[in-house]
Amino acid sequence: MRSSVPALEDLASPRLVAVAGGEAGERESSPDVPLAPVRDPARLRAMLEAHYDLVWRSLRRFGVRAGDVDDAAQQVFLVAARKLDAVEPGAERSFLVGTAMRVASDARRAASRRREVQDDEPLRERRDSSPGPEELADRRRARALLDEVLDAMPLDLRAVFVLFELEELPTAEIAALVGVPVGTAASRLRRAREEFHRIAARMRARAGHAGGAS
Amino acid sequence: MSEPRRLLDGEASEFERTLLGAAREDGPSPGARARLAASLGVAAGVAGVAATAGTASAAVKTASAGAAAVAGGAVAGGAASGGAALGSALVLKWLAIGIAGGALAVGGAAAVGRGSSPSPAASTDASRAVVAHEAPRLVEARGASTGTPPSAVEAPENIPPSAVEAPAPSSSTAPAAPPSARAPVASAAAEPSPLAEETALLDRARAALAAHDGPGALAALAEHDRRFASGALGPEALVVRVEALVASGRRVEAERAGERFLASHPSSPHARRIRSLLGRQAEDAPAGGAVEPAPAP
Repeated sequence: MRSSVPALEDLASPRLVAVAGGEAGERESSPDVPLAPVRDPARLRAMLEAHYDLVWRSLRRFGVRAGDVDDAAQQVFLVAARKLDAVEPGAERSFLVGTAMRVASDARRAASRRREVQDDEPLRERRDSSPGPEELADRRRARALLDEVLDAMPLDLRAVFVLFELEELPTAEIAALVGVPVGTAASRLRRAREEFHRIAARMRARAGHAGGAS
Repeated sequence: MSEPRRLLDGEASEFERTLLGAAREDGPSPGARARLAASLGVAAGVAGVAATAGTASAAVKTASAGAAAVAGGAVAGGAASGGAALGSALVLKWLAIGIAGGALAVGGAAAVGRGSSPSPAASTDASRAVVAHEAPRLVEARGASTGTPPSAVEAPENIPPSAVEAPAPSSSTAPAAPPSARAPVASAAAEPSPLAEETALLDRARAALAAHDGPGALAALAEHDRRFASGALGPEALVVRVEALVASGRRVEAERAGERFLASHPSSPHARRIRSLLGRQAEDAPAGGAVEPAPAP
């Protein structure tokens, strides 16, 4: 399973960096790579059907900004399309989430280079239009706080935390897709939880002082 | 090793629950997945339904010129199936809008964007030429253009609902295509796959939900259930239904529908969302106070 996750050097390739950061893109124009037909479109489609939401949420919680998540998700599935043959049957989810981690890492770097501030809240809210406006605002605030907590975690802890606590993946699968032994994943989860409790408590104290949660 | 309990199932404080629970409500905008499927060229059937008549017919020309792979590949890095061109044309059109007015002439989108109907020969030549120049840079350009107004790149609501309901294009534009290139396109256009129709119905329900139109969403879902009683997207439909019922204040029905699903698919990826729509919302997020910190323990 581990072998099917793209190696780091794949993601450091100019192609993905170009996609993420809009730089050094000339190599993307190399006609043969992007034009290779997907050999098994049905499988790719099935992966998309089954895991798109998971990939999207993971990217978001791994720290990709709301306005960039659709693009990042596209990258994940582009990688999947190219490497479909290397993805073992049954390991699709791990492959996608593992790829999402790396894409998120690239996207965060690119975003910090770009540093154009954009108001991404309206985009993020689109999904949640069913509740009333007040509840919506609260939820949005809660999510902003969550992102703040997660942003304060190192990415290795953050990934394990998100995948276990929010996406409810089993620890063994998380370990495999992160590329560490299960014991290491478990200890990362422990540390991530400590971090989470600590940061959340601090945040709550701060919110208490301010008389509100924001 | 025994699996630890999840914080949300155990020791999380009220405040932490609120934070973690908020993430569960997050997700892609309706139609995002369908758009990506189209741009990856793996939404053959979906594209047949989703493409507007004009886009589709233009795309048929593109496909006939053998440019389908280019159009699909530009974004997807793959996908040479004829049907792919339909979706790609549509998606590429949006991308092009976000990139540069001149880049509109991508694949089949060109003819639509300009509102003209050039002769097949002219259009295919133009498509091919422009695609060859523009397409490979699309992905890169899109990455670079994330700073452009979100409406250009993201605006899904502007297109899918109406586009989805557009009639299947007439196949009269197809004859010029060689059979190998034409076949998948023509069949997709004439006979959208069940999955495509099902997806379209769900997209309609989601769009209605997003527009606070609970009854509209439920109507689309009723149609979904009528036509796709054992459809591939049953669980997805159910999630939308629960959401629509909750949004319409029909709590009891929402719970009944949700519980039934949870009983049969307790560990489905959709179960969590349903639980969050039903349980969490009721227990952990009192209306209007989702983020108020609980009293110090």
